[in-house]
Amino acid sequence: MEATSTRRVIVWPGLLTLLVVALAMSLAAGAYSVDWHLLWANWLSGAGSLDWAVIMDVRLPRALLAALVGSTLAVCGAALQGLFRNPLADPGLIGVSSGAGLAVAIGIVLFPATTLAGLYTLSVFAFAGSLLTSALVFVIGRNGPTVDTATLILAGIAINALVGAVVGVLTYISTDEQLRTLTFWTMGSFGGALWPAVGVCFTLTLPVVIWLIAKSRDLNRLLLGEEEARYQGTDTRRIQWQILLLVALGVGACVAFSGIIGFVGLVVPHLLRLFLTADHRQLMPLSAILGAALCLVADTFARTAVAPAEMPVGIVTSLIGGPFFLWLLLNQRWRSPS
Amino acid sequence: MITLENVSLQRNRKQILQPLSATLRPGTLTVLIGPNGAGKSSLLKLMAGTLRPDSGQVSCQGRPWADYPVAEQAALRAVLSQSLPIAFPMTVTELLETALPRQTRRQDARRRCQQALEEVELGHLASRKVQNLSGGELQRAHMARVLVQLWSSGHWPQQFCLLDEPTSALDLKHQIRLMQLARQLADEGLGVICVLHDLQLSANWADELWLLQSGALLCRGAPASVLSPARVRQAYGVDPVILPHPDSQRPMVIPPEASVRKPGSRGLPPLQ
Repeated sequence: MEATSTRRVIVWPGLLTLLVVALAMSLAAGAYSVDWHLLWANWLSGAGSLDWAVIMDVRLPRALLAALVGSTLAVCGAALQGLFRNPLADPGLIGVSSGAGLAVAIGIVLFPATTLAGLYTLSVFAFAGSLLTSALVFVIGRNGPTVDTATLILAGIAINALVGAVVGVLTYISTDEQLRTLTFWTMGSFGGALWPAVGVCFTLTLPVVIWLIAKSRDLNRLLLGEEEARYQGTDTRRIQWQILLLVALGVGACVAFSGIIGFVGLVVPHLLRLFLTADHRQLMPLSAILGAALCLVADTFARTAVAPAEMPVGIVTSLIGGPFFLWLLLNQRWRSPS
Repeated sequence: MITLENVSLQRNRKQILQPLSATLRPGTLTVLIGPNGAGKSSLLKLMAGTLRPDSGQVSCQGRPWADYPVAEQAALRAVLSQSLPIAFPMTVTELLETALPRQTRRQDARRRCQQALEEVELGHLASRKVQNLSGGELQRAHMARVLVQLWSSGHWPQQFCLLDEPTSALDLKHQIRLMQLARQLADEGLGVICVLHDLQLSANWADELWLLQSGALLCRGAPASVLSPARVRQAYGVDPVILPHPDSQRPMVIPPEASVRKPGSRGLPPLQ
């Protein structure tokens, strides 16, 4: 009991410090080594420099994108898990991420010459894919006025399998270059971050994150069950649809700008629940902070581990997240055998 | 008051409730009894406005439940359901805080939750995780949550409190404490209805008993008039001894002796 309340006091400053440190690390580290004295001197004298350009035009937008995507994925994960009262619920699980991935694969392989939205062509595909799959999953999972959780998750599994098969076919018929792009996309990266992309992503994801955090009280009630939430005055039907659509929007935007990045939406809320609380009024904003920090660290690692080459960040999150998650689960079971 | 007019309910072509009419009056403690599967919980959900009847109408304060927005329904009635597993770890206080409306001041929230916990004698467990509570403690915590919801409404005490087997996990002392609470709520002016299996507890505490059997309201009235040996036999298929309490004159229900075997019965088969 006491341990939990101590944790509650230190968790906010602790996680905010972590976020700031992760951001600073992300700006400082990289293949190009920045001369900070020179940068400072140039900044004072008003002269531009390569170092300044590296920080402002390469690392800062990239760091911001990583932070945005990280917090959106973590908050969306937490919201879905609360909605389904299932710690395994994840945008990946109900098929939203893979739907976006499929649309991107179709774009790369079948419409290689399409440039309807310039740099953002694939992003538009991803976004359309996530919205379409969400709509499909919701229509299937809809049971009268409410959303049937079990059907929804089963529909997600079926859609994931179907998408896997179709992507397999696309992989088979793609050229070598297309295959490279495809692989890169499905493994996720913040490498494409330019200021306009960050701006678009920001305008799409920030409202989603804020809105979902504002629904913390209703998510808490949903933890007691849909009927109880209704007894307490939450219009469950409306909340369910709103959350599902907003998650589709948020995840679609993330996949559109950074590819598929797994484990963030699963690990971050789970960690916080394990060490702190499942109270969404704390869980949701803290997920946003921890998700951002996690993606910043993962991206810094991805850029520096094999410099000057770069690893896809999705591989890093899975490489760190997978074993860590397993360790947590086993550790928890060993400590409390019930 | 909550009024049921010719209300019936079907599920999968099975008649759950026969058309019935009844009124839950403010200031009374009504106890709903009946054998398993009689339709008690369904009737409670109809009265709570979560189930829609297939025919007839359920209204609260003269207006059909369906016409109230969900938040307004929550201000007019609170419900304690049967077994409620909670998916994720939260503390007892956090559980109680789910019942608070959005604009509650932090100070009020804390005070109200603590007071509700004191009412069910859980004040010392406010910061415990609900996963670490015993079944009885969890049931009391949910009752405290219901109290918080009732107290937080602007309609107090023109409200209704619907309790589905609130004593099922409780020891004798806390059964009595819970019925005292229900009694207090009724004395404050709320309409309280409570599903119980314990006929003795029902007889001791109810102003009015509703006896439900196979989806039909067999009879309703004061405990002494409802709990006759013939009626109990008709509803439950057992022969109790029913005596008036020497002081209160309320019925005392004594179940048939467990050790007495019917003539000719061979008892349970021997264990292998």
